Amino acid sequence: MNNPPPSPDLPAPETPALVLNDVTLTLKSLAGPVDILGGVSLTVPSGQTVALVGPSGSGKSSLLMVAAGLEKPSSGRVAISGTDITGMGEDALARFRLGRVGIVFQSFHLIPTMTALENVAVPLELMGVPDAFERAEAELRAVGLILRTDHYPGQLSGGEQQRVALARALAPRPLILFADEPTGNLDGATGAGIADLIFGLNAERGATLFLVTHEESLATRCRRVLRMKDGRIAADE
Amino acid sequence: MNRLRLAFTFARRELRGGLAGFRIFFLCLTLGTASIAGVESLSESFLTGLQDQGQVLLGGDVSVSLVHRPATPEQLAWLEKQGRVSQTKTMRAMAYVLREGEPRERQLMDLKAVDANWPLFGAPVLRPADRLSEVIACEDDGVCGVAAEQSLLDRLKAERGDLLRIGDATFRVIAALDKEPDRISTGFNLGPRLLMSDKGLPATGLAGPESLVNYNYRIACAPA
Repeated sequence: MNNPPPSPDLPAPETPALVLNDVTLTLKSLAGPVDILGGVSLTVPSGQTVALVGPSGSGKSSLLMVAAGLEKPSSGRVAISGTDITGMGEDALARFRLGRVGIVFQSFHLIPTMTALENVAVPLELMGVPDAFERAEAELRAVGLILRTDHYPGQLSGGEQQRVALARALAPRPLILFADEPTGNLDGATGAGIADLIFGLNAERGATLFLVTHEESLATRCRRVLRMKDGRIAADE
Repeated sequence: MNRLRLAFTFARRELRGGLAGFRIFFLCLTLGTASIAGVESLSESFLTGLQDQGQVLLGGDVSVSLVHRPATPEQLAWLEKQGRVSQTKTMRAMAYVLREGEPRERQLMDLKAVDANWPLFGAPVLRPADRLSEVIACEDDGVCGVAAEQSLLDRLKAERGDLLRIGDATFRVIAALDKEPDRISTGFNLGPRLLMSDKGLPATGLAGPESLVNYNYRIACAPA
């Protein structure tokens, strides 16, 4: 890696972790354009934990995708830690996310040909961190998987895979962690364990947490709960 | 360099999944390599063939063509100064087979009238294997001989010895033409070939003014 590891400049404490300004998202379909998000504006202060809840199809996951820079909004602006990402190309967005944004998906998205340790080390290697594997090992220890470092995803349970995914998302010490239904594929007890880990590690590191969930019990653990309906934020509690 | 090493590292890890995922890739690679090798080989054979057989395929070292009119005496004299010249005339015409003196089956064919020097290189393959000069010679009664491709004879239901009417003249089928050495250089043909002597062509009355006749001059250049 010729470039030095991205060391995201820490934003000033008063800089919001996430700002969405009148964001809309319209997707094309054979039946015509479908409005997914209809003018969402939102400011998330740094370090806040936010839960996004709402019925299926209300636009929760789409809003997370737009906020995390995985989807381009049709209009409006998105800023993460003071940096407007709306006009960035795919490569620039990928570089920006590296080290600043962590994402945990419902279906884990681990690389099946890599061990748990290698999966966690991938973002660190891409950042050019010299002790990527030592840090990855520490992250796996933090999520209680130090004895499973050499296991492949196929050899891990769903809960363990999600823990690896969480370790991978947190390994680069992101400023903001996005989690899309992180316990959706897990049974109650395992899901509760994962939720404890997410909140525990997030609190320990002071990162902002933006959580999409169906589970009210999970949402109530967040400091702020946003309720979505028909592509808009219907309530901000 | 580090980026390359990282990419190689990730690729190596990906390969742990086995080579099964590369089946299509390897198939494409094999097909691509085979195609390139095949084209190269064909091209090489083609070029080698052209190099070795160029004179035979072209019918000379140099070929000059005129449409509608023959070369002027001055032009011909200049060509003859360059080497030995063979003149041929090609045109499309209708051939009728004569039975009991009456024209019967007819067929469009590509007529080629050749001089005594043709071909400068190679030789036609005739069946029976007589000398060309004897096959297309004109008899005392004024009927000249022709050699025709078997497909023309089949379509006319004609055999060796049958008479053909071409234009105003009558010809006798003496041989079947199995191979014409410079056929490839004549390009697109509308019908099967019929070979005759240029001495027999005027009698047909087909090579007059406004006739679409190609006058071809092949030259075997004199050694420098």
